[in-house]
Amino acid sequence: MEDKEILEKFQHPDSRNLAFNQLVRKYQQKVYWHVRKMVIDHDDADDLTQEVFVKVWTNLENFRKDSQLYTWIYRIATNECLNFLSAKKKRFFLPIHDVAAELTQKLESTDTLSGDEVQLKLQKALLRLPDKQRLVFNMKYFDDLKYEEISEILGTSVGALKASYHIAVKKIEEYLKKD
Amino acid sequence: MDRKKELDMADLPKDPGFKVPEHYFDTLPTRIMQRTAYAAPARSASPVAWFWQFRTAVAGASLGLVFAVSFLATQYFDANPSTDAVMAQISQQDILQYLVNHEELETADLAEVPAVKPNQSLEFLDVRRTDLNETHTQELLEEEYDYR
Repeated sequence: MEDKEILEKFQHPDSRNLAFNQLVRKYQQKVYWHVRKMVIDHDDADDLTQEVFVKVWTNLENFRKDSQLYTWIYRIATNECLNFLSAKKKRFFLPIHDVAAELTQKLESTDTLSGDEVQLKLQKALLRLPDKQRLVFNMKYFDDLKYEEISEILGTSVGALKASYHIAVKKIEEYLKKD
Repeated sequence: MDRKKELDMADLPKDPGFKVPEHYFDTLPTRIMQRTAYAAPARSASPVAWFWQFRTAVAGASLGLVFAVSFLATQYFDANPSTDAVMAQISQQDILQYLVNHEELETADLAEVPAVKPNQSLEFLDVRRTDLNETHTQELLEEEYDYR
């Protein structure tokens, strides 16, 4: 079902549930993977994915169609991730126990990654980046989004995004060479 | 520019490689629908609903306050004070003034007063016993005359 049709059906009480079910099935994997790459842990990603769709359900009626539906959903998911990581950082008082270290530890547990050494190295390198730089890299590299789309999601200029992605790549290269 | 060439990491995977529980994406839509579309609609706290709730709460609280004040008042004030206590609060001059002004007061009323406190009442009323007897005799004569 196309986004336009989903939105039209959502406006009618009789077809609202059906439309939302279609929306969830269409975007669940994109939302989940976007969140999972940021929070690493499956249970956290599961909670946040559900929260994202609860917010979509609550606010979809007021969606103004100024942007694409999927960029709007991505924006909600991105905000959920950043708020989650920000709250997590506030819980750590000692710098030795920072969030990056905790997430790296989760990466190394047997039930997180499929066991590919290169994947583990790349994820470790990504966790050394600032959250917003990591977001840009994920959306550009893994999700193949255009800079214009990322710009719409993050509210950052295309030029700034290109610079951010370039810096992220350099840092990852350095990390991989060094490691 | 080719991204892989830019990264200089030709063997880097496009798949992040995270594990997901089996059938996770089959069950996720149902769980989300249960939290949204299939969930019972939350009661909206509209201003009108809030006003009625507030009004009911205030009415209940006021009623409770009235009962509490009434109860406390009965503990401190006697609801049925004795006649002596009430009369003690009224000055003799006021009582006299009332009796003088009371147009419906009859001799029979005066005759009943001594039954309670004869001496005290006559003193208060400033009535001489001879005058009372004379009036009473006159009334008896008038009754006899009417009878004839």
